[in-house]
Amino acid sequence: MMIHGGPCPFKRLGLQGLQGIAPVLVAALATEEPLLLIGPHGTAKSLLLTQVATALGLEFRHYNASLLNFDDLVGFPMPGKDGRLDYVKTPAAIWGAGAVIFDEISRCRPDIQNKLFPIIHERKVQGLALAGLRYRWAAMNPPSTDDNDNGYLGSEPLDTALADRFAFVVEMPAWTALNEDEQLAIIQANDCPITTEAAHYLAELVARTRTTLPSISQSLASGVASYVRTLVALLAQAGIALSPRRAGMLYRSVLAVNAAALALNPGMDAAEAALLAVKNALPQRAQGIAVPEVKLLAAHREAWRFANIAPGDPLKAILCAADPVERLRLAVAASELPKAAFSQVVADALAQLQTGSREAAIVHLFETGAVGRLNAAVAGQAAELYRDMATPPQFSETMHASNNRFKTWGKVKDLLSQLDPAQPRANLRANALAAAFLRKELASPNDADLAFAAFASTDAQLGFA
Amino acid sequence: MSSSDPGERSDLLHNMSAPPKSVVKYSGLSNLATSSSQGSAGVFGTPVRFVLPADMLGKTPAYILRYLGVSLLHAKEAAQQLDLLINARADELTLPEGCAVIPTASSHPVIWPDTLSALAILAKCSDSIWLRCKQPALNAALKRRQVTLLVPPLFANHLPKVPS
Repeated sequence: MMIHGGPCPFKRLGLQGLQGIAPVLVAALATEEPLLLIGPHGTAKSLLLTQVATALGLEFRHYNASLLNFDDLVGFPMPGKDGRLDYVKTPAAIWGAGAVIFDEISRCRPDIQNKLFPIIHERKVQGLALAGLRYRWAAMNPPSTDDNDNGYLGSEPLDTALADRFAFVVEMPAWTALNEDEQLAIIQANDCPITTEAAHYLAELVARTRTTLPSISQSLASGVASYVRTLVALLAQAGIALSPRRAGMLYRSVLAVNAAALALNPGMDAAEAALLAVKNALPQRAQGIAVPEVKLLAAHREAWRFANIAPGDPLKAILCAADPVERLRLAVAASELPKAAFSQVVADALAQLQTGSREAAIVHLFETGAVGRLNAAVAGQAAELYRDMATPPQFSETMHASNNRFKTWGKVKDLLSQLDPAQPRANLRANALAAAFLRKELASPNDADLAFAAFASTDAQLGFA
Repeated sequence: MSSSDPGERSDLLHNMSAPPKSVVKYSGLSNLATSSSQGSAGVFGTPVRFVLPADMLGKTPAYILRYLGVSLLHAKEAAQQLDLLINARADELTLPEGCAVIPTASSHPVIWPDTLSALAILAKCSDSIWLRCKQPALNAALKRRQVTLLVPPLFANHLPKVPS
């Protein structure tokens, strides 16, 4: 996303390529919520924070968290006159600072990380309020995890609770994301003092964002709240779990980024600003957990689309149900749901269900007649699976006795022997398991066990056991 | 449901290190009829067969309307007139809104033997499903003669008795 209005305030501070995340950074400054920058070395994380602190005239402390001792933060403890513990304040101690920067926060010792927690969370150290501390900022390299080959050895995933305290978790643009002019500007950069105009411009933007925020909140509050509620549910369905605290943070971040975007570029789209806010407010990045762009974008679009739906609309309840079986059950019960929406909900739910559970859900669609409300493509796919359950799939396959597939078949036979052929539903369950084996969806005896149990539990959940 | 391969012994003679082979088979949990007196053995639900008269294949909408004894209102609109009849008949059939299509067998009962009923099914049917709300596709209907729908047990009691 580009800011088409005024110039990027960070460019004026000598920082290149930040126009895309400028509304997020301005929102973080306006709200004074904790900000975490993540990026490879040399992406100007520290420079950004120190330049901003200087431009805003803040008294700030810049700590390298990997080398930090607690005494560096608070000074030396000394018994006070009335039994209180006082600290001998050194020039580097945190007392009196307006902004604090914890660089390399992912490389600091766990005991120090624990001590940073209350500073970031509640502006307190050792239970003492840090009067005057407004901004809490941190920076880190991408953490090293099994899933992240680009992570830095020594940069540990941030503790979940600590990561969840940063309202803004911003990924710094990579070198390759910058255009030629920006790259050349970085190569030829030299230390220049921040001009008064540049400092004033940034302060002005922050002030304008603060002024706009109440009216933005008033006009967008209910829509954004609904958007965040649906978004959190959809992300959870996609395996991206967020805490209730994060839901509240997202709500405030979306409003603040909208206000900042308005200050930077009055023509900017609210949905675009919301997506930008969400992209830069997920704690997973600090933990080295990949957040697939496609899933995020899909969830955002759906949530934004449904943000304007009336509160009583059944689609809202359906989309907010985390369990795909429950979503399918609610959708089947909501007979007024339009065909396209119903088909979408069912297709999504079926795609998320495990083998066994999916087959039981399809039986439910046919037994309730709801299959007739689906579009032809989704109904046709469901019917192919239903046919293999309602009529016994017949097959004969030669395999080596040492083969894992043969062992899986042995397990399937054991499970089928538990069923009573006189019970109609037992035939469905048996056929479902046999058909899944035939489709090679059961790779191990354990898979067979899981599918067998999943059919029964979903069948029971849908009221047909 | 599984048995030893008859060729296993000869394989053993040729290659002692080769693991033995087995044949696994499945043809249903039992041979019992599972749900309906009208149903076929091992089938969960009631199969209902629809058959189009042999001389109907490849015919025009105008011919079919005449065959059905319906006067043609406008020669150019025969297809639309037939679609209306098909939709109306589909709405009358006491079937669920959607039914799975299963392989046809001569043992499957023909509950609705009339031509318009057969058209109402075949024109709204893919290889896997019949959908009542689907737009009729007469060309597809006239390419095959018969189809069997599987009516789930909960809907089977709405079906008329099989004509004797």
